[in-house]
Amino acid sequence: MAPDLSNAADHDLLVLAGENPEAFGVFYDRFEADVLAFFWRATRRADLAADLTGEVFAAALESARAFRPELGSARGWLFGIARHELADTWERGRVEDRARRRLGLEPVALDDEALVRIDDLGGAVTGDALRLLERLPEDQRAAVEGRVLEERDYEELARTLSCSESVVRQRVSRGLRSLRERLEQTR
Amino acid sequence: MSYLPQLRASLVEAAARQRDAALELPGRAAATGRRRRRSGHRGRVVLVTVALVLLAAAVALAATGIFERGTPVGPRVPPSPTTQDGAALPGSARLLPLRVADPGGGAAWGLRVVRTTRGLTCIQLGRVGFGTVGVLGQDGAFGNDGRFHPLSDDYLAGLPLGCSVTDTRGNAFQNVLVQAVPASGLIGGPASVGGCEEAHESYSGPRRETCPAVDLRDIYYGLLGPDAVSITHLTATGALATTPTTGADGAYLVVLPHTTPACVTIPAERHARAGRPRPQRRICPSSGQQATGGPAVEPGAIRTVTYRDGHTCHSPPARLAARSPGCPPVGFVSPPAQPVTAAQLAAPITVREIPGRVYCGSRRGELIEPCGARTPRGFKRLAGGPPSLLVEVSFSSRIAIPDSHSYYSFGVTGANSPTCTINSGQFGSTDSDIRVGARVSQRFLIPYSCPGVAHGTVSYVPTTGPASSMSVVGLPGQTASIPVGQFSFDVP
Repeated sequence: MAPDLSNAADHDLLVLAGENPEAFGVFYDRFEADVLAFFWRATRRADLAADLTGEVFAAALESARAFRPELGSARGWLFGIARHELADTWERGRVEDRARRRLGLEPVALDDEALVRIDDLGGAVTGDALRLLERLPEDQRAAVEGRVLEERDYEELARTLSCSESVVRQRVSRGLRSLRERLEQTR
Repeated sequence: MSYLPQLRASLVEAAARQRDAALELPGRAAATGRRRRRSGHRGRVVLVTVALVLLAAAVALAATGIFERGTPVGPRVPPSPTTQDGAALPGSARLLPLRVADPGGGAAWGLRVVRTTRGLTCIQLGRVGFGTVGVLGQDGAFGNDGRFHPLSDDYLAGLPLGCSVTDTRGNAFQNVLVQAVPASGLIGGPASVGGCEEAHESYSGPRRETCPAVDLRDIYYGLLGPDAVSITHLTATGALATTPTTGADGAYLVVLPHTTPACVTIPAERHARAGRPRPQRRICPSSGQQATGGPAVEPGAIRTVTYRDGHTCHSPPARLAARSPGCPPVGFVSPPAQPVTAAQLAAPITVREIPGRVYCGSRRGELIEPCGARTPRGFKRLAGGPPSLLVEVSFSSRIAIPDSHSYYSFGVTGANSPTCTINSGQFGSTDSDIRVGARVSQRFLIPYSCPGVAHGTVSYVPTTGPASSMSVVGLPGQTASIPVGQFSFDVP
C-alpha cells in the first residue's frame, strides 16, 4: 500500500524523494502554482513561466539531497533556486535547460488550454491584492513584496532594506493587515 | 489538477531513475560496467541518439527562449565620427559588472561604457540582457512586444548628458540623474518606437501615452573614477545604504521609484495692488522625463562618496542643492591642452547678412537658410519666433580642432534698443572636428526688433577638465577662452 504523503512536511518530501519518487511529485504539487505565478509575474508570458518552472523543479530534484532544513524552509530554498534561475535568464536572454538535460527531461509541451490556465493564474495573483499592495506605504510594500511575493527570508530582507529583522517582520505584519482590511472593503 | 501534468510525470520518472542509480550496489555496478564494456558499440549508438534528441530539444527551447531579441535601438540619424559626440569606436563598448534590481522586478538595470571617435566616454543605461543593455518591449515601447531591444553602440544622442571628456589615464567622470524613466528603459528614442512618459504640460500636446506612475523610475548613475570606493545613497524605502562602486570606473547605479515633484500652494493674495484679489492657486512643476548631469555628483539620493584615501564627500539632498554643490570629481588627470596663443588663433572674421521672411533649419540643426513656400528636403520650417535677420559669421581656422577637447564659441551683443528682446551672450558654438585652414561658419537669427549695430566675438574654448560633452561656455572643466576675432553688423 502506497504511503500517504499528503501530510508530510515539505522538507520530508525532499528527503523521501530519494526512496519514493512520488514524494517529489507531491512536493511539485504543493509549489507548482506558486512557482508558475512567480515566473508569470516576472515575465508576463505563460510559455516562459512554464519553461522556467520546469528548470527550477529539475534543479530542485537534482539537489534535493543537499537540502538542509536547519538552514531554512524548503519553500524558501525552492524560491531561492527560482530567483537565481530568473536572474540567470534575464542575464543570458534565454531559459537555461541544463538541469532538465542532465535529468533527461523532455521539453514542456504546452497546449492553448495550459497557456490560458497559466495566464489566468498569473492574472489572479496580480489582481486586487497587487493593486492594493501598490497603495501601501513604501516601507510596508517593499517588505510584503520581498517576503510574500519574492519568498525572501527575513534576514536577507533586513540586509536589503537596511533595517533589523524585527523591523521587517513588523512591516510585513502591518502591511498584510492593511491589505486584508482593504481587500475586505473592496468586497 | 496540475497545470503541467507532463512536467510532473517527467520529474517523478527522473526521481525514480535517480533512486535506481543510487540503489545500484558496487558489485552490481562492476557487473554493469563489464556488460557496458561488452556492449560498447551499442552504448555509443544510444549515446549519439540521445545527444541528437537533446540537441533538437535545445534548439527548440532556444527558439522559444525568453525575450527574443528585437530590433536594436539606434540613433535617428547615423552619427558622424567628426561631429557632436562622434561615433562609437569599434570594439570599445564594455558592459560594466554592475546589476541593480528594478523595483518592479524583471531584468536588472546596468551600464555600458562606449568610447567615441571624438575622445569622449559615454555611458549607456538600460536593462540587461544578451550581455548588453537595452530596452524591454513594455510600457508602450515597441508595441509591447515583450522582446529585448539592445542599444546600438551609437545610441548616444538619446542618452542625455551621458558623455564626458576622457582623461589621460582613460578615465571619465560623469554623473547623471534621469527622472521619470519608464521601466522599459527607453530614454529618448524616435517617436516611432512608442513608449510612455509621465503626464506633463506640453505646448504641442502629449507625444506618447502616459505611463502609470508605478512604472516610472528616477535613476542616478555615473562614473566616479578609480579613487572612489563606495557611495551612500537613499533606497526605495527611504533608508540609507552603502554600496561599493564597481571596478576602476568607480561606477554606480541607483534605481528608485519615481518621485513626482510636489505641487506648491500659493495662498490667496488678500491685498493685491491692482485689480481683484487673487484666490489660492496650486502650481505643479512641469514634470516629464528630465535629465541633469555633469562632472559633479547630482544632489539628491546620493549622500556621500568615500574615496580610497579615506576622505568622504557629502552630497546634499535635492532641496539643499542650490546652497551646496555636489561632490566634485576626484582624480581627473587633464589631457594636455593645445598650446595656442591669441596670436596663433587670430583670424579675420567675415559677416554676411541673409535676409528672408521665412527660414528653415536642417533637422540636425547645423544649418539655417531662407526658404520659400516649399520646405527643402531634410529641413523643417522655423516658426514661432519674432521676424529676424539671418546672419552668417565665418573665418578660416588657423589651428586644428581634432576632438571634443576644444571648440569655437560665437558671442553677440545686441544693439541697445528698448524694443530689443535679446541680451548679449553665446549665440552658437562649433561641435565638430576642424582641419587647419577649414572655413568655419555659424548662422544665427537676430530679431529685427534689435535695430542698429551689433557686435560680436569669436573665441576658442579649451575643455581640459572633467567636463561633459556639451560645448556651452562656462561649464565646469573649461579653461579661459582665447579671442580669435571680433565682428559687427547692422540690423536694419
